[in-house]
Amino acid sequence: MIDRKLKKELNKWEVPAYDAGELEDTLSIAKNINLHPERQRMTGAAFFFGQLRFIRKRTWVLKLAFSAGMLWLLGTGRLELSNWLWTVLAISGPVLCLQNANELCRLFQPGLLEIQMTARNSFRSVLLIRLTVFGILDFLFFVCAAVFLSAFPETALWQAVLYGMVPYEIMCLGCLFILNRCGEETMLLYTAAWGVFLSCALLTLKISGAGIFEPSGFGGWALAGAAALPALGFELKRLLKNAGGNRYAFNDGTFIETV
Amino acid sequence: MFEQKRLQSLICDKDRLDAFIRENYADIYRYCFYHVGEKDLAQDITQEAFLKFLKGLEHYEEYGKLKNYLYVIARNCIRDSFRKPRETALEDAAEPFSDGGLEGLPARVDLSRALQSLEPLERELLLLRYEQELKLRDIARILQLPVSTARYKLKHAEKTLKARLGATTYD
Repeated sequence: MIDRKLKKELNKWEVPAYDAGELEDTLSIAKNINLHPERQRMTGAAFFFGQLRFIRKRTWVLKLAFSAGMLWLLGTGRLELSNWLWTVLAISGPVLCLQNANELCRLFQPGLLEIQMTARNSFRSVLLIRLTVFGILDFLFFVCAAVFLSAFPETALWQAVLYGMVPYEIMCLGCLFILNRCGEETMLLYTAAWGVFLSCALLTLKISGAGIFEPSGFGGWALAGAAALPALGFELKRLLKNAGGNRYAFNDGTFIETV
Repeated sequence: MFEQKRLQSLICDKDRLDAFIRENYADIYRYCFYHVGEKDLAQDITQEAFLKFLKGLEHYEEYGKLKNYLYVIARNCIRDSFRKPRETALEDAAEPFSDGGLEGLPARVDLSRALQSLEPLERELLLLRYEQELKLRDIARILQLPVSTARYKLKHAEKTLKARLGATTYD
């Protein structure tokens, strides 16, 4: 707080007004200084939204079309609860994740990595932004799906969460595992194979009558989700660390390996 | 983050830059005058501070608000001017508070003496708080102190100055 008595004393210190000519002189010199606007770095927000332009239109269209289609199926009650409702939700996760992996694998193309390493904003930033954008979109999809499914009287929220998120989590884990260990040329193939395998596994279990979507299966789903979460965190951390660039690592010629 | 955005808008828009200089010129000038006590020198240092600010924008460091950065540059310019040997006309050297006239001169002289008797950091804290009316957080950023240290030292400076001024009061 300002001490008013002291302020009154200090106000005795008078300052003469400056010459208006000096101000104008400063302004005219300032106008002639080249501030090099072209050298300015993007703000974080500008970089984030700028990255959205580099995600292929095809990916946006596929994600939105698939999400809209699935939500339409889930929301309009065309699927019977006992049959395909949960199966469709469970398969949605791996398919969405596969679309993300398809886009992310493009970042790991040979030659492109080297260019990105020399760019002002690190490869890690680019990767983080893509993961964030896809994560937000997929999260919105699952929220909408949960809302639509809550309209069914026999459904419970935990079912929508588990049957949607757990396969998504496992798919993400697999894709990150592949991204961290496989060569750039084969990443896409392996992630696609993993996605197909997971979807087929869910379909097979459903068709075989294994009752994976029965309420009694809650424990299994919860355990699978809980087990996958720390592994997912570990793989994600490893991916981002490996993508950190030359600051902490040496370049082995292709993908950066941390020391 | 917002200051970074504001900085970029200044760099890209000359009109905004113009407005920024006009907005802050008076405060920086007053700050310089409090230190050097001469109008012409204060104007020169003010101009130098603004031009250095503009030329050094590429090396801008986060001091919170852009204005804090201006103060930091002004401080450095003032320090540099004290290091330079300069010729001072006798009439300029006579009184640091010459423009107030004779009325109230004893009070101003006592104030000047009381301020000069303080430590430089305490004097700076009082100047930034009372004359420039900056917030404590901004002052701490400019002086590169923790906020708690700035608060403590300011309190101490206030107490000391009040004690030294307390002997003499003028209406």
